[in-house]
Amino acid sequence: MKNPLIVIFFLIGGFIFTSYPLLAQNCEQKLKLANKYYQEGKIELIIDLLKPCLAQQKLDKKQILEAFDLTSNAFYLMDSTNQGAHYISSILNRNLTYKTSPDRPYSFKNGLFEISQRPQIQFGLDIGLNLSSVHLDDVFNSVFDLNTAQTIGGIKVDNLISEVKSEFGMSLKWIFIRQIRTRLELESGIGFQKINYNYLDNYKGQKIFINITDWQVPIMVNYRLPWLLDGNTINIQLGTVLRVLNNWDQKQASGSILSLDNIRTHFNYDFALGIFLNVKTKYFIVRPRFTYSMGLSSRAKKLSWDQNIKYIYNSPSFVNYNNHFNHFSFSVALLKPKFK
Amino acid sequence: MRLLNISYPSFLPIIFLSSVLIGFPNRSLSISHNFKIYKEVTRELIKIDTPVDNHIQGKIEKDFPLSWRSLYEKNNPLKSQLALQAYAEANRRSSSNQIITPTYNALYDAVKSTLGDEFNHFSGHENIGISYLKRGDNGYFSLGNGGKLIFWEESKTLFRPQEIENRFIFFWRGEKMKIIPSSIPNYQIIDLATEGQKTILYIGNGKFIQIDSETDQYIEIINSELDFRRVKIFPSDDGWNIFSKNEWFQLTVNSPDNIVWNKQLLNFHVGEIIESPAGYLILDADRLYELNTDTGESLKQSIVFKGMPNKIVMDNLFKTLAIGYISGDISLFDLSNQRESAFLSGHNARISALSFDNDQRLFSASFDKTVDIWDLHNLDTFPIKLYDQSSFITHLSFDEKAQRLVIGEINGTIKYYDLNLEKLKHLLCQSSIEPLSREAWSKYVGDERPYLPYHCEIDALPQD
Repeated sequence: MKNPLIVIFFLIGGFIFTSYPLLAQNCEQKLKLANKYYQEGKIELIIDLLKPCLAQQKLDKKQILEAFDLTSNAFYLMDSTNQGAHYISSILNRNLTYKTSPDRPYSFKNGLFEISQRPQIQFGLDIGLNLSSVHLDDVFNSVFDLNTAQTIGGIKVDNLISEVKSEFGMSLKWIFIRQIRTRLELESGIGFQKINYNYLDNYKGQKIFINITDWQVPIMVNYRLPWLLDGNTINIQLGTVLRVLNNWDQKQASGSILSLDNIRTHFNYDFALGIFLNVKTKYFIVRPRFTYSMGLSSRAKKLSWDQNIKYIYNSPSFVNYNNHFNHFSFSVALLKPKFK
Repeated sequence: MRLLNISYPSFLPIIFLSSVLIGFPNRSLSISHNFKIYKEVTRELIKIDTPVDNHIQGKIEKDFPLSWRSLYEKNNPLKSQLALQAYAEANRRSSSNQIITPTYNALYDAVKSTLGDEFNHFSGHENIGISYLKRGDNGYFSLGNGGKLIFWEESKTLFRPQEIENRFIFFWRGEKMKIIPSSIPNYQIIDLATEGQKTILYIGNGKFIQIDSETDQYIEIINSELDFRRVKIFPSDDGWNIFSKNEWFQLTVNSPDNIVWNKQLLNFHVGEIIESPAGYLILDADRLYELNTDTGESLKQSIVFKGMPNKIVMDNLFKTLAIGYISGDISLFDLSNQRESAFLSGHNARISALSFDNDQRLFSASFDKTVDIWDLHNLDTFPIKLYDQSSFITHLSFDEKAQRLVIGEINGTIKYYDLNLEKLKHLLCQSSIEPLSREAWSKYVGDERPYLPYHCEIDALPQD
């Protein structure tokens, strides 16, 4: 201990070590005093009193929430709604299900309720089960005459697959949601979906089982309905899900169109419609969701006139003819909301 | 000092506040005429759990012993008997029938104890708060922050609520309200204004509904530029003046197809706003402007404030302007020379509502949960203080004819105070309160005075 630097180091360390509890104790007293000011209506004094404690985080979790509550209320009572809302966000970022005292002003309670319904951003993981079914479209059935048209794009009709059945698949997505209006959100993300199919390959004359994995990028617009279910919000969503085959060499089928490899595509998109519930827990939003999506497919290969396209559907570049796909999926997402 | 040992903490603030009214020698004069220097709100830490000053308690106990005992007495009818006796004593002392705070509070408290805590409540906006309170011809209108509108129909001493749902359009025909079904889907009224046969409702997102009670027709008006939660609406000669932030909109509705909007930007923010002879007086932080609605020009006023102003109100004659500060003090300004004519200190927290009773009295409400009634012709006397509020007061509405003050609190409680002592006495006497017994007289009044207890005579109620 002869080295003065060591002495100074210990002195500073000791000061920091002992000052923290003192500061914390001071903030506890200030919080107590702020409560007293609030009861007496001296709301102007609360903000300056608590701001340093909130900035330095010298209070425990419960006390910090109480301090944010008091500060926010003071701002609301002074008609500074925006600043009041800022502190509500701070509360909700720490506790989504925060319950304030019933004697707080309506403006604050309403602000707390309203802001809790619309986090600015949410991100998390969505895990789901998917059941798909394939429908042969009328376009195919009515236009395509099996007796006269023998080929599609040079491929024999007999080679087409039939009796397509699907089994449960699963999906996993990272999703990101951004609020764009009071009730509107934009949702996107990335993930994959795995679906098991079995179908009759007419060419081979046998049942084929295949497992298809798509990378998915949903682009959805969410709308929060004005009704609540036990305090939790009900939402609908509409948008598209872009799908890209994980394995481009996959020969049999892609996500939303089933046909032979000559007319198949690696890129597909769905029109999706969903309904979900945002259930708040203390730190996360749990989002059970039911989605119906209708798979559509852009043709990878343009069929020429010579290739008897006239029998199918005469469209200049894209043809949807033998499908649509129905995807029914149920998923649960765990989202971390952020309020600003 | 036996009474001081009674555990009844809710009355400690009452006594404390009541003491402010009657005054005591070591308190500085609370009303000054241009002498008192404004003190900044103290920001140092203050001692918590400050005990009620014994001196103040002693002063009330000495000068108003019966009122004091009545306030502290839990046993009713003894509480009421003491209050009535205090009332009789006050009448004997003062021929002017002037309200003395401890006497008034003792009577009020006895009535409350006899008829129930909510005898003077309008129950309908609990935990919501109100954004509008207006006296109508036969009752009061209150608009809850949640959009619920209630008409409180007066019936003898009661007020019966008539809730008006959002699927109805309502309007005033003169001062009476008429309600017609609406084809507009449920809406939430945020603010409203009335003028003659016309009523305008603001329902948010820049949407208004103007109702004409002569034709029973209503017009929906939308202005996307006005997409604010809060606006302030005033009637004008040919329509409505609407203020929001730093914008002034003039709306004229000639017909559903002929709606004219004019917009003018103001070079200040619209905080508190009241009507003035030339147009409007507008408070922006600590600056006061007068907007001349004829010329559209704004002029900064030379009034010097003694603190951060929070509320403004002008008397009906446009002679006196009252400014309420966040410190709880009030300045009265003579508008003829823009000089301060009085400085009133009666509240401990920000002024939240002000109202003139012609040029006779000034009512001031504060976040300290009290209402002061100042006699403008005798500002050297302390104000009457009403204390029976549980939360911050936001609205005041005084009915001069009925001598009734209606108070709206931030928690949605609306209650009325009959400022006529006779009415309070009448309410008590209707409950068959027996005179003070000989034993009680001996104990509380003393044997040195002859036994002359107050006898209730149920007269007809004083006419409004």
